[in-house]
Amino acid sequence: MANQSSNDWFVGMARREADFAADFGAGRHQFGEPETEAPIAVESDPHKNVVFGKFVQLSRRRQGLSRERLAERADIDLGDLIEIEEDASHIAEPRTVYQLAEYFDVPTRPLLQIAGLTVARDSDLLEEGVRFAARSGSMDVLTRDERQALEAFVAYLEARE
Amino acid sequence: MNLSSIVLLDAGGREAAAEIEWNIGEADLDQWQRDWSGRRAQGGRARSPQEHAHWDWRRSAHARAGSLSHSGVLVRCQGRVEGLMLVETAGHRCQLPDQAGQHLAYIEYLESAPWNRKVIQDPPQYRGVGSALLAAAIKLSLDEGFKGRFGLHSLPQAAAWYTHIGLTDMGPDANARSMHYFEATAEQARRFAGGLFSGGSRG
Repeated sequence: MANQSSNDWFVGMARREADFAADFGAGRHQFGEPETEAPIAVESDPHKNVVFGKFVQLSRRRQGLSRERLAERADIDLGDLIEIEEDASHIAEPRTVYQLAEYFDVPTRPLLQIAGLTVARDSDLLEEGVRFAARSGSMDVLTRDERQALEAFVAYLEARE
Repeated sequence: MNLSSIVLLDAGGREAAAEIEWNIGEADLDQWQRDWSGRRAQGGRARSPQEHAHWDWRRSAHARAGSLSHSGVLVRCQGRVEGLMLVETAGHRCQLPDQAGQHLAYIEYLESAPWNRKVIQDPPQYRGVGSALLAAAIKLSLDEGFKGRFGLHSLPQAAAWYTHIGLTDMGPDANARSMHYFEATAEQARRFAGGLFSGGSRG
């Protein structure tokens, strides 16, 4: 058994972890190919990127944020954000997806799937995403339909987790 | 303090005796691959590219963990591997201006078992694994004469924690998929470790 003072340290840290930490992972190996910069996307389903782009755009507009402001608050690259919203063939950086999931308070794993960064054997998720994208236009303020579509989609994401 | 016997907290807040081991054996890697990947892949999900990277890492870790420049560390509780870390003590140098160019212990990889990660299981089965591994990294740094200095690339969901415990966030690293690089000075490491290595609490 550890001596009392080190015992206290480990217990104290465990409590701090409980209060605070979501995770402790470190190391680029956990974030794709170990030594290369090859994109880790393995599927290029055009629907997915449309869905992810729509999701980000509507979530942003719901909060009344400009792209600049969202990039600043979520601590992501503005260029990546613009491409996510505008270019359906763009593959988002994994870090950007994590940051957006955290900022918009939605589960990370389904969002990574939607962004095309992990393999999804999940046709329900894809279909739900396409339905969501189809309901959302691109006006400045969310219409009631868009808001409902976004809320339903977020609820769906949370249920996937 | 040799840090062999430590304490974790289980989901009910009870203390659980655990060990830090300074070597990752083949059997541990087998167990890790079996238990951890089974857990990740539950629900019939296909393996993600990240998991494939884990298998690659496993192979390279086994080759490197026993080398002079790398140390494999694991946390074991009741026979089961609860966390893994690979620390490199030769190839990296400090980046913080105050200590730029000096040696440090670079945490090449750190992971708690899936059931100990709040993002996957809440409440986690054991808490304290991440901190125990960091303490081990500081010990390796001290043993090498690096005064506790260490660095790591944080997963996005872990970055707030590393800030919270006093590491310096040096921002996104373009060479590491924009993961944020964190570094600890000797003083920051000492503050984090409290009295763990000094024999008395000064912090």
